[in-house]
Amino acid sequence: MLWGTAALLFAGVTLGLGVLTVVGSPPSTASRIVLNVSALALGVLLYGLLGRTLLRRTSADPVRALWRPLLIALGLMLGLYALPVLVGPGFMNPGTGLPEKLSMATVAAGVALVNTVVAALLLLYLRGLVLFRRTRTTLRNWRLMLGGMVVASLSSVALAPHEGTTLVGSLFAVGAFFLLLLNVFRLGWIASLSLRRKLITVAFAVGLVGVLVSLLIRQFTGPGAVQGAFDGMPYFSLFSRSLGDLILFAYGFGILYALAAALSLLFHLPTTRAYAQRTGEIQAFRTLAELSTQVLEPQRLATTIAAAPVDAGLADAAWLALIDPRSGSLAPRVVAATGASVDQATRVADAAALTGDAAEAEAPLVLGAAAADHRVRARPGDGLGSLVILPLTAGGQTYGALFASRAITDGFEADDVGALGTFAGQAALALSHAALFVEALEKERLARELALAREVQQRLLPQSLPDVDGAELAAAEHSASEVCGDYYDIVALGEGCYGLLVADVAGKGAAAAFYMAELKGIVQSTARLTRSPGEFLAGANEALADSLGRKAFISAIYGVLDTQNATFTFARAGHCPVVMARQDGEHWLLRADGLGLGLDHGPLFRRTLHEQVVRLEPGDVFALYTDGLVEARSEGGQEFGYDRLTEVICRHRADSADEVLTAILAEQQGFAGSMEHEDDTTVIVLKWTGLAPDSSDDAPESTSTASSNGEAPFIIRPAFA
Amino acid sequence: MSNFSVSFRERSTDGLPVHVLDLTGELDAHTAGEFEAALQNCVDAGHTRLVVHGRDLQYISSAGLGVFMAFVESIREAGGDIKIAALQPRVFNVFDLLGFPLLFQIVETEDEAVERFASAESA
Repeated sequence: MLWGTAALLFAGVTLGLGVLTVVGSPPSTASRIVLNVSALALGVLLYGLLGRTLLRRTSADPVRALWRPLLIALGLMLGLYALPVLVGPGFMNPGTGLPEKLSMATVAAGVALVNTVVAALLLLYLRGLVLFRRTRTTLRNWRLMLGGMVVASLSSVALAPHEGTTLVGSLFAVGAFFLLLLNVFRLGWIASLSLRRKLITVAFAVGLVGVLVSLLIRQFTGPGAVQGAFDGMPYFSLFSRSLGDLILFAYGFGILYALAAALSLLFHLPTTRAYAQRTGEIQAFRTLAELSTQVLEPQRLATTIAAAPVDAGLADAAWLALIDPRSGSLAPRVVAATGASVDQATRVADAAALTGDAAEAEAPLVLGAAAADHRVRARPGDGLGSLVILPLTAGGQTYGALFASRAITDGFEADDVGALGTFAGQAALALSHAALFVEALEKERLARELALAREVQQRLLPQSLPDVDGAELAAAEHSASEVCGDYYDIVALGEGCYGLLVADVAGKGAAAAFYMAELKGIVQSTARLTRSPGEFLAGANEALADSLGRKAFISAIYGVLDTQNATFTFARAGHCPVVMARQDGEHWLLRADGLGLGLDHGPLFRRTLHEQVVRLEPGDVFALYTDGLVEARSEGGQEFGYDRLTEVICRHRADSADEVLTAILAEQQGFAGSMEHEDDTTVIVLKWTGLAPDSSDDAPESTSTASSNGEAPFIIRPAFA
Repeated sequence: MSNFSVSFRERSTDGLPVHVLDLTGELDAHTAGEFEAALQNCVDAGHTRLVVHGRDLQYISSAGLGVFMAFVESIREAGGDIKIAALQPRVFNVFDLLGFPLLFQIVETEDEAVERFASAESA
């Protein structure tokens, strides 16, 4: 539709011009105005249409914005060379200001159309540059300029092509020129160009100036011009004076803008490096800042940190030396380098000494003449003129140092060091984040494994206690940490006998858990082979001898309850004494001699081990436990101790085994208050209720033993006589 | 918050050097490493006649006892011994429960422990 209008306008003006040429008489002012306004409208329409279709998106790529119009204008110029050959020299009728021949009118129309398109494209390409980082004002100025050009061109609608401008026309032209200048100095895009692109752009800008100037010369005086009684004039002005003015304004703007750009580019060339460096710094800094918020593989992080100073143009080479706590050494090691190999970086400077000194000073260490420093071992070929060492510290921890080097001596200005310092700060932060993350992962993994170990360990403990005729059993185990060093087991030995074991592996943690598992194996495989606690413990001591290290040992107590004979026989391998309470209130700490398991691998263990045999009376209560119970501390630092334990058992001696156990734990808990359990605690409570008397002669005898003579109801004998 | 420390003293009996380690505070799983390092230093320096003086030792756990076990064998093989002196009753009870008196000479006073080296030598 619009294209149709443009075609119609062009055809109308051409037709009008043709008719006037054929008529040959001076045209009326009215017809001039109609033709000129139509031609101007054509020009404006073409600009709008081209802008909408060809150059919808204004591009700020200066190279493209300059070389495209350059190429187009160059094409037009070559075309103009061919023009006189095609049509022969053309002349204007000086009286009418009209072409002399119809063929000339046609040529003028064609040339005018092509020039309009070229001028419109020129404006459109430059528009992208003028409106680089546009604001409301720049867009307004651009539109004002276009409007000014059209208005100034309108002032000549009544004039013949060769007539001088009126005063009003000149004033408008000056106004348009002023608006033109407003836009000529919109050159903000220059600063961001690299040196290479600046040089290319200068060449194109100068080229564009040259081509546009010679295009005008060609059209005014050369073979592309209309020859006549006066100096030549462009064909496009012959077609329409006003459109011609508009085209001239556009070319004028193109020349001025390209000139301004070329000069400005030349002035900017020396500052390019500084600008590039600043941009590089910002870029590199941004990369590092992003790094510190991401989770990264350590090597990639190190590589990025080492690359930052070089990318920013702050150094010729840079490398990162880090302290790896896992290597067991505090000497930092070069882990990544840019502009040099890691080996070279390791060789040229004593990373350990320099990092140490910089970290101690808590400031960048600047070596203006690196080669003269005793900590630098660079050879002349290494290109190490000056060196800056930046300590990487975050949260009070030193991670290592960032090294930046330049080939020349005194290569670092104060603001370079400042910028590097900022990098180092950011890098240290990123490193600390990475370290924290690794630590957190490791902790989580350990926690998971410990939880698993704990689960396994829990299954090693009896899941249920056997129902024993004539006795009650209760047991509890409380672990101070994930993995417990305590162990207990209750096994049915057959013929009414039961083995009760409580053991405590010295130390805590994972190793303790392994010994506990081994002990479980020994219990399962050997307990049923003997009714003698001494025999069992001696066997366990020998079985454990190989696996227990030099400082590991296990204290254990093993008792055999014989329900048939109403005896409880136990042996103590370095373990806490058994608490025994009778219903009449009498109580004992039973501690037959015996070494801890693993303390002696030879015959001393057997020789010193004793068994203690208790003749049971109904109501006898026993507690087997680990030292965590008696060593629990109150807030005042006091120990729970044997006296309190014995006291609470005596107090609850009439209760069931379960109740006694609950009472013991509650008492200990109340005593310790808010204090954390420092050690694992295990308790087994055994209460002898007595078998229903099936043989009437046994029971009276056992009761009389205790009440009649009041002697201790037990005997102690060597386990291996 | 280590509330444990070890200090060294050198004495002699009958011209034989005896090294006394004064233990102060609580010897448990957390502080056992310190005691271990101290004993290791003695062994490294070739001191094999050692008296562990425990008058100011408030507490000992099984981990602390483990340290004695870890060193006694090699020290005895080198012709020396670790003797333990002046333990508080509560601490002695822990040694006693495990049967340490069967393995170590545990005596009332430091002087007695030092003299025993001389008598052992002459015997």
